[in-house]
Amino acid sequence: MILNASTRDTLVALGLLLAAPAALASSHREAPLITEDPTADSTDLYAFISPDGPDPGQGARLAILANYIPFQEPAGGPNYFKFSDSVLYEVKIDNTGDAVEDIVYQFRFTTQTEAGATFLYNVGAIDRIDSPNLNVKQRYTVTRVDIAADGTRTESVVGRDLLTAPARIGPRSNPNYPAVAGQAVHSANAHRFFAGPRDEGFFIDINAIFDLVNITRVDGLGNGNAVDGTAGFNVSTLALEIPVTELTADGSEPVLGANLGGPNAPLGIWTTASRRKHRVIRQHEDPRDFGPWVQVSRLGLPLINEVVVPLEFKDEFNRTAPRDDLSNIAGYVVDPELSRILNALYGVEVPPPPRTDMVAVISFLPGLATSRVDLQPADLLRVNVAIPPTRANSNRLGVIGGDLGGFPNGRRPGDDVVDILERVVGGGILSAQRTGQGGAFGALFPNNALNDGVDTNDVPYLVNFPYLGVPHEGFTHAH
Amino acid sequence: MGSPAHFTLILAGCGLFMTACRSDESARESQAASPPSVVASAPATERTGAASGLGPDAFAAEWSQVLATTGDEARATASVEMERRWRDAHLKWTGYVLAGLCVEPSRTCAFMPWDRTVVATPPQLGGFAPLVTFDDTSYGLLKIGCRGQVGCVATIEGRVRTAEVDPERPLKLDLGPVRLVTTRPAAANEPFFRAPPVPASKPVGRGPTVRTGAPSSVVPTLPPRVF
Repeated sequence: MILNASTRDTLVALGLLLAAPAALASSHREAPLITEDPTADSTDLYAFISPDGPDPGQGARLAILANYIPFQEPAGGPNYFKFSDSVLYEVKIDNTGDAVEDIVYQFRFTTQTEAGATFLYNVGAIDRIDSPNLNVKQRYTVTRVDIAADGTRTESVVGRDLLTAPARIGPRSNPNYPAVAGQAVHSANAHRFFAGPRDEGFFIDINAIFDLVNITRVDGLGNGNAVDGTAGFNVSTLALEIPVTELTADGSEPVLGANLGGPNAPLGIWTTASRRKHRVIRQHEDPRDFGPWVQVSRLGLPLINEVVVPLEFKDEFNRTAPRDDLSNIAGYVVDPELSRILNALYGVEVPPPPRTDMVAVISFLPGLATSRVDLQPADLLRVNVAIPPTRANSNRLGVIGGDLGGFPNGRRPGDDVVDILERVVGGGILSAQRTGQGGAFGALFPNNALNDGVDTNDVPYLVNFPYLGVPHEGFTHAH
Repeated sequence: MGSPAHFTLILAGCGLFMTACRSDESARESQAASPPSVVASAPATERTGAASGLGPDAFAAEWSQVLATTGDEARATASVEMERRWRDAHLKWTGYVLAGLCVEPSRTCAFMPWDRTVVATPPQLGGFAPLVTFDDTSYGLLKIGCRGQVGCVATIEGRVRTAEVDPERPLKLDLGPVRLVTTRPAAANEPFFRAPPVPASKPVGRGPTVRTGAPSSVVPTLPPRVF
């Protein structure tokens, strides 16, 4: 398409402005308090039917990846990044549509230092995950909690004393890192687990955006020399893979049909991190934590707390539960501040409130679940487990790109949520009825063509569990 | 914010069962605590302080200091008073109801009142949205009155069933059963929020985006949810 100068200027402005939510589109350091507690900071959440497993109806498994601890410099030794032993990490699943957890996977970590008389993380090559040369070992236990309709909780340990993958330090320490990290994939009780460092799989030109939205190196259509600002960083990943039959409310494995898999097909997923209420710090002892758990971080969709929730409510939002989102964030959702900024400052024509298209995002797009299930609007990552994975020709734009296997039907690592959300917030998916523009749903132009110019990750994703790429190596890496 | 007495509502007094009133902190903790919680006391193995070398008495003194510092009791008392003022209040509101923000089985909707004095910050400006649960008849009338549109303007009337508050303001209101007084589909350029008048020089309102020459889209046809 050939653009005239005026239109091009407009698109540049649009790209510049509408990339703003993209800058915040994931959940890295998204709220003031959590920036002071990075080990509890959830950064991204993914959920999708495992493409390396069977299709729905034939033993399909759901992969869930929860990332924590943003912007990890790979060479950050000698105490490399790891999960916190004092944080309760949880992955929660709603299988009834009421935005209340029915299944919870709890991860608790314990670190053991085998030789305290050295400053070294490892004292030789780490050639296997339980190598005696690995001085600092972290293990974790996974507990599954099933919560009945009456609130009764049934707990079962589904993985115990599982070793995390070590840090990737350099060629002397990690002569064959991928193989050793592969040993950190544990199979237990029909589940697969992984915990440890991975490449940061989220991609975005974050550098420019925080320079007062200085996206002058890319135009409104993404042409130019955008920079993947999260490239070269690592992240800590909690990954689990679960048979679909272990997740649905009735233990069935829905298959796609005229009813879109039926009422048991849509699942809602989110992750939380919690700390004990009290910490006592004494002069000559390690800190001691006690009291009830208090949630300090939550993440479902890669949108809500970043684009929609204002600064004054971000910390509180991290303490709230999805079941209360309908009351807490409905106002933000239907009239996002960004739209008003675009209109007031730049005269950009964005749809007026109430933004019912934004509501669709938090209540699962119509067409992705049967009308016989009524899903409570909430900040959950929802996935229809009856929809088969897209193994070939997947589209980075997911559903708005015509690929029902991607975001917002769950989220795959390669889904370009930045571009998707730019278009959503910009009104690009708005229906013709609201705009009066005519044409098909999602035909609001140029709002439906916005992007940040970064379309892929710097490191290839894995084709198998845990899917996120091999972490960067400290020795060879420099920012 | 003003006190509830300033609002367009009829205070019908607090519920008799004051023990049911909850402070905001206890409410939040009930949301947050997934494992079994121990409120205001530590697990026995930690309270002894044996592992740290701190005797039980010293530990208890330290623990009391912790409790005093957090101010839990004072906040709880103030919250009880605030909750008493809101619970059972009878409200009559006009505002927005959106089909996408309703839950059908329970007939519960997020309601967005136009009257900015009703709650501390109206949902249209980012405040919380009161939840209203319609009675059977009213929900049916709502769907009829909205005539298949995504958004409706409605006047509703009902009583506050639960109010979660902090010492200064309500944090969440739940009304029900709610009666529908009037409803109609929202007009094309219906103000989403009845803000006070602003100087003419400031931008007010915005029409729908009208552009031509849009490229064809590959987006599946996904209809918006309507009443």
